[in-house]
Amino acid sequence: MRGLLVKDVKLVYGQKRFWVIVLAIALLFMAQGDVMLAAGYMVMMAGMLGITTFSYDEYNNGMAFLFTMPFSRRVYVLEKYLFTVGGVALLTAVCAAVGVLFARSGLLEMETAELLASLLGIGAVGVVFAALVFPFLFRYGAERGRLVGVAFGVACALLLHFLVRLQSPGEFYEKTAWLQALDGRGILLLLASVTASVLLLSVFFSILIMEKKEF
Amino acid sequence: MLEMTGVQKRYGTFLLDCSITVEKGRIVGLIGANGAGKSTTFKAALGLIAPDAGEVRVFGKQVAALDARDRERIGVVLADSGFSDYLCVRDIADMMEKLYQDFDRGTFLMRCREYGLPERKKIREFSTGMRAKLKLAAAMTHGADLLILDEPTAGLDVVAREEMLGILQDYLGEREDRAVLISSHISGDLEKLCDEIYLIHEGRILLRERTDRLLDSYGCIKVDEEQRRSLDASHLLWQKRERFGYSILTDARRFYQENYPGIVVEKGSIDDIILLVEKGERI
Repeated sequence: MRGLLVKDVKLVYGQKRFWVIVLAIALLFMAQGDVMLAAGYMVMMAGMLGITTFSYDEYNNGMAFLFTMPFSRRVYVLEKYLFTVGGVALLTAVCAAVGVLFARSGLLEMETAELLASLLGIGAVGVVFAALVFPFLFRYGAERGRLVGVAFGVACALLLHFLVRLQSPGEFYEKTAWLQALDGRGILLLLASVTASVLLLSVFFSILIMEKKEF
Repeated sequence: MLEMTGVQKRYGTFLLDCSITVEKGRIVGLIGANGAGKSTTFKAALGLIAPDAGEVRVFGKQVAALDARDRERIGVVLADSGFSDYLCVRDIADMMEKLYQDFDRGTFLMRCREYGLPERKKIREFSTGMRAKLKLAAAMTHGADLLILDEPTAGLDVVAREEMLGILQDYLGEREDRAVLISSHISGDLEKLCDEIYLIHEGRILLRERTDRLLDSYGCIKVDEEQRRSLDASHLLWQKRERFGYSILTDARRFYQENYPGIVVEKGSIDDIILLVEKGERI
Protein backbone atom coordinates (compact mmCIF):
# COMPACT_ATOMS: atom_id res chain seq x y z
CA MET A 1 0.00 0.00 0.00
CA ARG A 2 2.91 2.34 0.69
CA GLY A 3 3.81 2.38 -3.00
CA LEU A 4 0.28 3.40 -3.94
CA LEU A 5 0.28 6.14 -1.30
CA VAL A 6 3.61 7.40 -2.66
CA LYS A 7 2.12 7.43 -6.17
CA ASP A 8 -0.95 9.40 -5.07
CA VAL A 9 1.07 11.89 -3.03
CA LYS A 10 3.32 12.43 -6.07
CA LEU A 11 0.31 12.85 -8.36
CA VAL A 12 -1.26 15.43 -6.05
CA TYR A 13 2.08 17.18 -5.55
CA GLY A 14 2.46 17.33 -9.32
CA GLN A 15 -0.67 19.50 -9.39
CA LYS A 16 0.71 21.92 -6.83
CA ARG A 17 -0.35 24.98 -8.81
CA PHE A 18 -3.99 23.87 -8.50
CA TRP A 19 -3.62 23.33 -4.76
CA VAL A 20 -1.94 26.73 -4.34
CA ILE A 21 -5.01 28.29 -5.95
CA VAL A 22 -7.28 26.32 -3.59
CA LEU A 23 -5.22 27.56 -0.64
CA ALA A 24 -5.30 31.14 -1.92
CA ILE A 25 -9.11 31.04 -2.16
CA ALA A 26 -9.31 29.60 1.37
CA LEU A 27 -7.01 32.37 2.64
CA LEU A 28 -9.25 34.91 0.93
CA PHE A 29 -12.26 33.54 2.85
CA MET A 30 -10.22 33.71 6.06
CA ALA A 31 -9.13 37.27 5.38
CA GLN A 32 -12.81 38.18 5.15
CA GLY A 33 -13.22 36.62 8.60
CA ASP A 34 -15.12 33.57 7.38
CA VAL A 35 -12.90 30.84 8.82
CA MET A 36 -15.68 28.24 8.74
CA LEU A 37 -16.34 28.81 5.04
CA ALA A 38 -12.60 28.50 4.36
CA ALA A 39 -12.46 25.31 6.39
CA GLY A 40 -15.50 23.85 4.64
CA TYR A 41 -14.01 24.69 1.26
CA MET A 42 -10.62 23.16 2.11
CA VAL A 43 -12.11 20.00 3.57
CA MET A 44 -14.42 19.47 0.59
CA MET A 45 -11.43 19.89 -1.73
CA ALA A 46 -9.60 17.28 0.34
CA GLY A 47 -12.61 15.01 -0.18
CA MET A 48 -11.95 15.43 -3.91
CA LEU A 49 -8.35 14.19 -3.54
CA GLY A 50 -9.19 10.54 -4.07
CA ILE A 51 -11.35 11.37 -7.07
CA THR A 52 -8.52 13.38 -8.61
CA THR A 53 -5.96 10.61 -8.21
CA PHE A 54 -8.46 8.11 -9.59
CA SER A 55 -8.69 10.20 -12.79
CA TYR A 56 -4.89 10.20 -13.06
CA ASP A 57 -4.76 6.42 -12.62
CA GLU A 58 -7.37 5.95 -15.30
CA TYR A 59 -5.85 8.37 -17.79
CA ASN A 60 -4.62 6.71 -21.00
CA ASN A 61 -5.93 3.29 -19.94
CA GLY A 62 -3.42 3.28 -17.07
CA MET A 63 -5.49 0.99 -14.82
CA ALA A 64 -4.60 -2.16 -16.77
CA PHE A 65 -0.88 -1.67 -16.17
CA LEU A 66 -1.42 -0.51 -12.59
CA PHE A 67 -3.18 -3.76 -11.73
CA THR A 68 -0.27 -5.88 -12.92
CA MET A 69 1.71 -4.52 -9.97
CA PRO A 70 2.07 -6.37 -6.67
CA PHE A 71 -1.03 -5.37 -4.73
CA SER A 72 -4.56 -6.72 -4.64
CA ARG A 73 -7.65 -4.89 -5.80
CA ARG A 74 -8.80 -4.76 -2.19
CA VAL A 75 -5.58 -2.94 -1.25
CA TYR A 76 -6.11 -0.47 -4.10
CA VAL A 77 -9.61 0.34 -2.84
CA LEU A 78 -8.47 0.66 0.78
CA GLU A 79 -5.60 2.93 -0.25
CA LYS A 80 -7.97 5.31 -2.05
CA TYR A 81 -10.15 5.58 1.07
CA LEU A 82 -7.14 5.93 3.36
CA PHE A 83 -5.65 8.62 1.15
CA THR A 84 -8.90 10.58 1.03
CA VAL A 85 -9.81 10.21 4.72
CA GLY A 86 -6.20 11.02 5.58
CA GLY A 87 -6.34 14.14 3.40
CA VAL A 88 -9.62 15.25 5.01
CA ALA A 89 -8.22 14.59 8.51
CA LEU A 90 -5.02 16.49 7.73
CA LEU A 91 -6.79 19.54 6.33
CA THR A 92 -9.35 19.48 9.15
CA ALA A 93 -6.45 19.51 11.61
CA VAL A 94 -4.76 22.40 9.76
CA CYS A 95 -8.04 24.35 9.72
CA ALA A 96 -8.51 23.62 13.42
CA ALA A 97 -5.02 24.91 14.20
CA VAL A 98 -5.60 28.09 12.15
CA GLY A 99 -9.08 28.49 13.67
CA VAL A 100 -7.76 28.21 17.25
CA LEU A 101 -5.01 30.70 16.39
CA PHE A 102 -7.62 33.11 15.00
CA ALA A 103 -9.88 32.61 18.01
CA ARG A 104 -7.06 33.27 20.47
CA SER A 105 -5.96 36.40 18.63
CA GLY A 106 -9.56 37.68 18.62
CA LEU A 107 -10.03 37.45 14.84
CA LEU A 108 -12.72 34.81 15.28
CA GLU A 109 -15.53 35.09 17.77
CA MET A 110 -16.05 31.44 18.54
CA GLU A 111 -15.45 29.13 21.47
CA THR A 112 -12.68 26.61 20.81
CA ALA A 113 -14.99 23.67 21.60
CA GLU A 114 -17.65 25.00 19.25
CA LEU A 115 -15.04 25.59 16.54
CA LEU A 116 -13.63 22.07 16.85
CA ALA A 117 -17.08 20.50 16.86
CA SER A 118 -18.03 22.46 13.71
CA LEU A 119 -14.81 21.40 12.00
CA LEU A 120 -15.39 17.77 12.91
CA GLY A 121 -18.85 18.11 11.38
CA ILE A 122 -17.36 19.55 8.20
CA GLY A 123 -14.72 16.78 8.12
CA ALA A 124 -17.44 14.15 8.51
CA VAL A 125 -19.39 15.68 5.61
CA GLY A 126 -16.21 15.55 3.48
CA VAL A 127 -15.74 11.86 4.29
CA VAL A 128 -19.42 11.02 3.68
CA PHE A 129 -19.28 12.88 0.36
CA ALA A 130 -16.28 10.81 -0.77
CA ALA A 131 -17.87 7.61 0.56
CA LEU A 132 -21.02 8.26 -1.47
CA VAL A 133 -19.12 8.97 -4.69
CA PHE A 134 -16.38 6.31 -4.52
CA PRO A 135 -18.39 3.15 -5.37
CA PHE A 136 -19.64 4.95 -8.48
CA LEU A 137 -16.08 5.92 -9.40
CA PHE A 138 -14.96 2.32 -9.15
CA ARG A 139 -18.00 1.14 -11.11
CA TYR A 140 -18.19 3.73 -13.88
CA GLY A 141 -14.73 5.32 -13.94
CA ALA A 142 -13.73 8.85 -12.97
CA GLU A 143 -15.71 10.86 -15.51
CA ARG A 144 -19.08 9.11 -15.46
CA GLY A 145 -18.71 7.94 -11.86
CA ARG A 146 -18.27 11.48 -10.56
CA LEU A 147 -21.51 12.58 -12.24
CA VAL A 148 -23.49 9.50 -11.21
CA GLY A 149 -22.10 9.74 -7.66
CA VAL A 150 -23.03 13.41 -7.29
CA ALA A 151 -26.46 12.71 -8.78
CA PHE A 152 -26.91 9.91 -6.24
CA GLY A 153 -25.86 12.24 -3.41
CA VAL A 154 -28.30 14.91 -4.58
CA ALA A 155 -31.07 12.31 -4.93
CA CYS A 156 -30.44 11.14 -1.34
CA ALA A 157 -30.53 14.73 -0.08
CA LEU A 158 -33.77 15.45 -1.97
CA LEU A 159 -35.36 12.24 -0.69
CA LEU A 160 -34.44 13.20 2.85
CA HIS A 161 -35.78 16.70 2.30
CA PHE A 162 -39.14 15.41 1.02
CA LEU A 163 -39.41 12.86 3.81
CA VAL A 164 -38.97 15.68 6.31
CA ARG A 165 -41.45 17.91 4.44
CA LEU A 166 -44.05 15.15 4.47
CA GLN A 167 -44.25 15.43 8.26
CA SER A 168 -46.08 18.18 10.02
CA PRO A 169 -43.77 20.39 12.16
CA GLY A 170 -45.22 18.81 15.33
CA GLU A 171 -44.66 15.29 14.05
CA PHE A 172 -41.14 16.13 12.95
CA TYR A 173 -40.31 17.68 16.31
CA GLU A 174 -41.73 14.66 18.11
CA LYS A 175 -39.75 12.19 15.99
CA THR A 176 -36.49 14.08 16.34
CA ALA A 177 -36.87 14.93 20.00
CA TRP A 178 -34.24 12.31 20.89
CA LEU A 179 -31.81 14.02 18.53
CA GLN A 180 -32.43 17.42 20.06
CA ALA A 181 -31.98 15.98 23.51
CA LEU A 182 -28.44 14.84 22.70
CA ASP A 183 -25.61 16.72 24.35
CA GLY A 184 -22.37 17.64 22.56
CA ARG A 185 -20.76 14.28 23.22
CA GLY A 186 -23.85 12.44 22.01
CA ILE A 187 -23.95 14.43 18.78
CA LEU A 188 -20.27 13.72 18.14
CA LEU A 189 -20.84 10.02 18.82
CA LEU A 190 -23.79 9.95 16.43
CA LEU A 191 -21.81 11.81 13.78
CA ALA A 192 -18.91 9.39 14.14
CA SER A 193 -21.23 6.36 13.98
CA VAL A 194 -23.06 7.59 10.87
CA THR A 195 -19.79 8.54 9.13
CA ALA A 196 -18.16 5.21 10.00
CA SER A 197 -21.24 3.23 8.87
CA VAL A 198 -21.46 5.04 5.53
CA LEU A 199 -17.70 4.64 5.06
CA LEU A 200 -17.72 0.91 5.83
CA LEU A 201 -20.68 0.27 3.54
CA SER A 202 -18.97 2.29 0.81
CA VAL A 203 -15.69 0.34 1.22
CA PHE A 204 -17.59 -2.95 1.12
CA PHE A 205 -19.38 -2.10 -2.13
CA SER A 206 -16.24 -0.63 -3.71
CA ILE A 207 -14.26 -3.82 -3.01
CA LEU A 208 -17.11 -5.90 -4.42
CA ILE A 209 -17.13 -3.78 -7.59
CA MET A 210 -13.35 -3.76 -8.06
CA GLU A 211 -12.95 -7.51 -7.56
CA LYS A 212 -15.20 -8.10 -10.55
CA LYS A 213 -13.84 -5.32 -12.73
CA GLU A 214 -11.98 -6.14 -15.96
CA PHE A 215 -9.35 -4.00 -17.63
CA MET B 1 5.91 -20.67 -15.29
CA LEU B 2 2.76 -19.82 -17.27
CA GLU B 3 0.12 -22.22 -18.42
CA MET B 4 -3.05 -21.16 -20.20
CA THR B 5 -5.34 -24.10 -20.86
CA GLY B 6 -8.44 -23.77 -23.04
CA VAL B 7 -8.81 -20.11 -22.13
CA GLN B 8 -11.89 -18.59 -23.71
CA LYS B 9 -13.12 -15.03 -23.64
CA ARG B 10 -15.91 -13.62 -25.77
CA TYR B 11 -16.32 -9.95 -26.77
CA GLY B 12 -19.34 -9.68 -29.07
CA THR B 13 -18.48 -11.74 -32.14
CA PHE B 14 -14.80 -12.11 -31.18
CA LEU B 15 -13.86 -15.28 -29.33
CA LEU B 16 -10.44 -15.88 -27.83
CA ASP B 17 -9.81 -19.59 -27.51
CA CYS B 18 -6.21 -20.42 -26.75
CA SER B 19 -3.78 -22.58 -24.85
CA ILE B 20 -0.20 -21.42 -24.29
CA THR B 21 2.61 -22.84 -22.20
CA VAL B 22 5.73 -20.95 -21.17
CA GLU B 23 8.28 -23.13 -19.41
CA LYS B 24 11.26 -22.09 -17.29
CA GLY B 25 14.17 -20.81 -19.35
CA ARG B 26 12.05 -20.40 -22.49
CA ILE B 27 11.22 -17.37 -24.57
CA VAL B 28 7.86 -17.77 -26.22
CA GLY B 29 6.65 -15.40 -28.92
CA LEU B 30 3.07 -14.64 -29.82
CA ILE B 31 2.56 -13.25 -33.29
CA GLY B 32 -0.53 -12.22 -35.14
CA ALA B 33 -2.12 -9.30 -36.93
CA ASN B 34 -3.77 -6.39 -35.12
CA GLY B 35 -6.98 -7.59 -33.50
CA ALA B 36 -5.89 -11.25 -33.59
CA GLY B 37 -6.21 -11.53 -29.81
CA LYS B 38 -2.66 -10.94 -28.59
CA SER B 39 -3.52 -8.26 -26.03
CA THR B 40 -6.57 -10.20 -24.82
CA THR B 41 -4.30 -13.22 -24.30
CA PHE B 42 -1.87 -11.09 -22.27
CA LYS B 43 -4.67 -9.64 -20.19
CA ALA B 44 -5.97 -13.13 -19.44
CA ALA B 45 -2.44 -14.25 -18.52
CA LEU B 46 -2.17 -11.34 -16.08
CA GLY B 47 -5.62 -11.79 -14.53
CA LEU B 48 -6.85 -8.44 -15.84
CA ILE B 49 -9.84 -10.16 -17.41
CA ALA B 50 -11.70 -13.21 -16.16
CA PRO B 51 -11.91 -15.97 -18.78
CA ASP B 52 -15.36 -17.38 -19.60
CA ALA B 53 -13.77 -20.85 -19.65
CA GLY B 54 -10.38 -22.47 -19.17
CA GLU B 55 -7.62 -21.90 -16.68
CA VAL B 56 -4.59 -19.64 -16.29
CA ARG B 57 -1.83 -20.79 -13.95
CA VAL B 58 1.25 -18.74 -13.13
CA PHE B 59 4.04 -20.27 -10.99
CA GLY B 60 1.67 -23.21 -10.51
CA LYS B 61 -1.09 -21.06 -8.96
CA GLN B 62 -4.38 -19.86 -10.39
CA VAL B 63 -3.72 -16.33 -11.63
CA ALA B 64 -6.53 -14.94 -9.44
CA ALA B 65 -4.84 -16.49 -6.38
CA LEU B 66 -1.46 -14.82 -6.92
CA ASP B 67 -0.37 -12.78 -3.93
CA ALA B 68 1.74 -9.62 -3.96
CA ARG B 69 5.01 -11.56 -3.62
CA ASP B 70 4.09 -13.72 -6.65
CA ARG B 71 3.20 -10.64 -8.66
CA GLU B 72 6.58 -9.12 -7.85
CA ARG B 73 8.05 -12.00 -9.83
CA ILE B 74 6.27 -10.84 -13.01
CA GLY B 75 7.64 -8.01 -15.14
CA VAL B 76 5.06 -6.52 -17.46
CA VAL B 77 4.94 -4.34 -20.54
CA LEU B 78 1.51 -3.68 -22.00
CA ALA B 79 1.09 -2.21 -25.46
CA ASP B 80 -1.73 0.18 -24.66
CA SER B 81 -1.16 0.93 -20.98
CA GLY B 82 1.62 2.20 -18.78
CA PHE B 83 2.56 4.49 -15.90
CA SER B 84 0.44 7.56 -15.26
CA ASP B 85 1.34 10.38 -17.63
CA TYR B 86 1.50 12.72 -14.65
CA LEU B 87 4.47 10.99 -13.02
CA CYS B 88 8.16 11.38 -13.82
CA VAL B 89 10.98 8.80 -13.74
CA ARG B 90 11.93 9.78 -10.16
CA ASP B 91 8.33 9.38 -8.99
CA ILE B 92 8.21 5.93 -10.57
CA ALA B 93 11.44 4.94 -8.84
CA ASP B 94 10.02 6.11 -5.49
CA MET B 95 6.79 4.22 -6.08
CA MET B 96 8.41 0.99 -7.27
CA GLU B 97 10.85 1.02 -4.41
CA LYS B 98 7.90 0.72 -2.06
CA LEU B 99 5.99 -1.80 -4.17
CA TYR B 100 8.76 -4.25 -5.09
CA GLN B 101 11.05 -5.68 -2.42
CA ASP B 102 13.75 -6.47 -4.98
CA PHE B 103 13.48 -3.25 -6.96
CA ASP B 104 16.96 -2.08 -7.94
CA ARG B 105 16.64 1.69 -7.88
CA GLY B 106 20.23 2.31 -8.95
CA THR B 107 19.98 0.06 -12.00
CA PHE B 108 16.60 1.52 -12.94
CA LEU B 109 17.84 5.10 -12.83
CA MET B 110 21.07 4.14 -14.59
CA ARG B 111 19.12 2.42 -17.40
CA CYS B 112 16.83 5.43 -17.71
CA ARG B 113 19.89 7.66 -18.07
CA GLU B 114 21.37 5.30 -20.66
CA TYR B 115 18.12 5.43 -22.63
CA GLY B 116 18.13 9.23 -22.47
CA LEU B 117 15.03 9.47 -20.29
CA PRO B 118 14.95 12.70 -18.28
CA GLU B 119 14.34 12.03 -14.58
CA ARG B 120 12.21 15.06 -13.80
CA LYS B 121 10.12 15.36 -16.93
CA LYS B 122 6.49 14.18 -16.83
CA ILE B 123 5.81 11.07 -18.91
CA ARG B 124 3.17 12.92 -20.90
CA GLU B 125 6.04 14.81 -22.53
CA PHE B 126 7.80 11.55 -23.54
CA SER B 127 7.78 10.26 -27.12
CA THR B 128 6.38 6.80 -27.92
CA GLY B 129 9.89 5.36 -28.03
CA MET B 130 10.81 6.91 -24.67
CA ARG B 131 7.67 5.43 -23.10
CA ALA B 132 8.55 1.99 -24.50
CA LYS B 133 12.06 2.22 -23.05
CA LEU B 134 10.70 3.29 -19.66
CA LYS B 135 8.24 0.38 -19.53
CA LEU B 136 10.96 -2.12 -20.38
CA ALA B 137 13.42 -0.60 -17.88
CA ALA B 138 10.78 -0.87 -15.13
CA ALA B 139 9.88 -4.46 -16.06
CA MET B 140 13.48 -5.60 -15.84
CA THR B 141 14.66 -3.97 -12.63
CA HIS B 142 12.79 -5.83 -9.90
CA GLY B 143 14.25 -9.28 -10.48
CA ALA B 144 11.22 -10.70 -12.30
CA ASP B 145 11.32 -14.41 -13.15
CA LEU B 146 8.59 -14.15 -15.75
CA LEU B 147 8.40 -11.32 -18.26
CA ILE B 148 5.10 -10.76 -20.02
CA LEU B 149 5.80 -8.27 -22.76
CA ASP B 150 3.10 -7.10 -25.13
CA GLU B 151 4.69 -5.23 -28.04
CA PRO B 152 7.69 -3.99 -26.02
CA THR B 153 9.46 -2.66 -29.12
CA ALA B 154 6.46 -0.77 -30.54
CA GLY B 155 7.39 2.78 -31.45
CA LEU B 156 11.13 2.13 -31.42
CA ASP B 157 13.39 2.73 -34.41
CA VAL B 158 15.61 -0.08 -35.75
CA VAL B 159 18.62 0.90 -33.66
CA ALA B 160 16.62 1.25 -30.45
CA ARG B 161 14.86 -2.05 -31.16
CA GLU B 162 18.15 -3.89 -31.60
CA GLU B 163 19.40 -2.29 -28.39
CA MET B 164 16.25 -3.30 -26.51
CA LEU B 165 16.45 -6.88 -27.73
CA GLY B 166 20.08 -7.00 -26.64
CA ILE B 167 19.16 -5.77 -23.16
CA LEU B 168 16.40 -8.34 -22.97
CA GLN B 169 18.78 -11.12 -23.99
CA ASP B 170 21.30 -9.98 -21.36
CA TYR B 171 18.58 -9.98 -18.72
CA LEU B 172 17.57 -13.52 -19.61
CA GLY B 173 21.20 -14.59 -19.74
CA GLU B 174 21.69 -13.51 -16.11
CA ARG B 175 19.60 -16.44 -14.86
CA GLU B 176 18.59 -19.58 -16.68
CA ASP B 177 15.25 -20.01 -14.94
CA ARG B 178 13.74 -16.81 -16.28
CA ALA B 179 11.01 -17.05 -18.89
CA VAL B 180 9.33 -14.66 -21.32
CA LEU B 181 6.07 -14.40 -23.18
CA ILE B 182 6.48 -11.69 -25.78
CA SER B 183 4.42 -10.38 -28.66
CA SER B 184 5.46 -8.23 -31.53
CA HIS B 185 4.07 -7.38 -34.91
CA ILE B 186 7.69 -7.27 -36.12
CA SER B 187 8.42 -10.92 -36.77
CA GLY B 188 12.17 -10.29 -37.13
CA ASP B 189 12.31 -9.36 -33.43
CA LEU B 190 10.79 -12.68 -32.45
CA GLU B 191 12.93 -14.68 -34.89
CA LYS B 192 16.07 -13.48 -33.12
CA LEU B 193 14.77 -13.88 -29.60
CA CYS B 194 12.27 -16.71 -29.24
CA ASP B 195 12.67 -20.42 -28.66
CA GLU B 196 9.11 -21.06 -29.67
CA ILE B 197 6.44 -19.17 -31.57
CA TYR B 198 2.66 -19.27 -31.40
CA LEU B 199 0.69 -17.79 -34.26
CA ILE B 200 -2.69 -16.40 -33.26
CA HIS B 201 -5.42 -15.48 -35.73
CA GLU B 202 -8.98 -14.42 -34.93
CA GLY B 203 -8.54 -15.52 -31.34
CA ARG B 204 -7.24 -19.01 -32.12
CA ILE B 205 -3.75 -20.45 -32.04
CA LEU B 206 -3.20 -21.67 -35.58
CA LEU B 207 0.40 -22.69 -35.26
CA ARG B 208 2.84 -23.55 -32.47
CA GLU B 209 6.39 -24.36 -33.42
CA ARG B 210 10.00 -24.12 -32.27
CA THR B 211 11.65 -21.12 -33.94
CA ASP B 212 14.66 -23.09 -35.18
CA ARG B 213 12.34 -25.65 -36.80
CA LEU B 214 10.19 -22.88 -38.23
CA LEU B 215 13.24 -21.33 -39.89
CA ASP B 216 15.02 -24.57 -40.84
CA SER B 217 12.23 -26.89 -41.92
CA TYR B 218 9.32 -24.71 -42.98
CA GLY B 219 9.14 -23.46 -46.51
CA CYS B 220 6.90 -21.97 -49.10
CA ILE B 221 6.15 -24.04 -52.21
CA LYS B 222 4.98 -22.24 -55.34
CA VAL B 223 3.21 -24.45 -57.86
CA ASP B 224 0.68 -24.31 -60.69
CA GLU B 225 -2.54 -26.38 -60.74
CA GLU B 226 -0.96 -29.41 -62.38
CA GLN B 227 2.09 -29.47 -60.07
CA ARG B 228 -0.22 -29.09 -57.10
CA ARG B 229 -2.06 -32.31 -58.04
CA SER B 230 1.20 -34.25 -58.27
CA LEU B 231 2.47 -33.20 -54.79
CA ASP B 232 2.59 -35.61 -51.87
CA ALA B 233 0.28 -33.83 -49.42
CA SER B 234 1.57 -35.46 -46.25
CA HIS B 235 3.76 -32.46 -45.25
CA LEU B 236 1.58 -29.67 -46.61
CA LEU B 237 -0.05 -27.46 -44.00
CA TRP B 238 -1.75 -24.42 -45.51
CA GLN B 239 -2.35 -23.26 -49.04
CA LYS B 240 -3.32 -19.99 -50.60
CA ARG B 241 -4.62 -19.45 -54.12
CA GLU B 242 -2.46 -17.22 -56.28
CA ARG B 243 -2.65 -16.01 -59.90
CA PHE B 244 -0.07 -18.61 -60.90
CA GLY B 245 -1.63 -21.44 -58.89
CA TYR B 246 -0.86 -21.98 -55.20
CA SER B 247 1.50 -20.91 -52.45
CA ILE B 248 1.73 -23.77 -49.99
CA LEU B 249 3.27 -23.90 -46.54
CA THR B 250 5.20 -27.03 -45.68
CA ASP B 251 7.01 -28.15 -42.56
CA ALA B 252 9.34 -30.40 -44.64
CA ARG B 253 11.03 -28.02 -47.06
CA ARG B 254 13.97 -30.33 -47.85
CA PHE B 255 11.68 -33.26 -48.67
CA TYR B 256 10.05 -31.25 -51.46
CA GLN B 257 13.35 -29.72 -52.59
CA GLU B 258 14.86 -33.20 -52.97
CA ASN B 259 11.86 -35.02 -54.42
CA TYR B 260 10.40 -32.31 -56.65
CA PRO B 261 13.37 -30.58 -58.28
CA GLY B 262 11.12 -28.91 -60.85
CA ILE B 263 9.11 -26.81 -58.40
CA VAL B 264 9.97 -23.64 -56.52
CA VAL B 265 10.54 -24.25 -52.79
CA GLU B 266 11.59 -21.15 -50.87
CA LYS B 267 12.90 -20.87 -47.35
CA GLY B 268 9.98 -19.11 -45.71
CA SER B 269 10.38 -16.20 -43.37
CA ILE B 270 8.03 -15.88 -40.43
CA ASP B 271 6.19 -13.13 -42.32
CA ASP B 272 5.57 -15.53 -45.24
CA ILE B 273 4.29 -18.14 -42.82
CA ILE B 274 1.94 -15.62 -41.16
CA LEU B 275 0.57 -14.55 -44.53
CA LEU B 276 -0.03 -18.12 -45.66
CA VAL B 277 -1.65 -19.19 -42.41
CA GLU B 278 -3.82 -16.13 -42.07
CA LYS B 279 -4.88 -15.74 -45.68
CA GLY B 280 -4.81 -19.37 -46.74
CA GLU B 281 -6.80 -22.49 -45.93
CA ARG B 282 -5.69 -25.45 -43.85
CA ILE B 283 -4.97 -28.59 -45.88
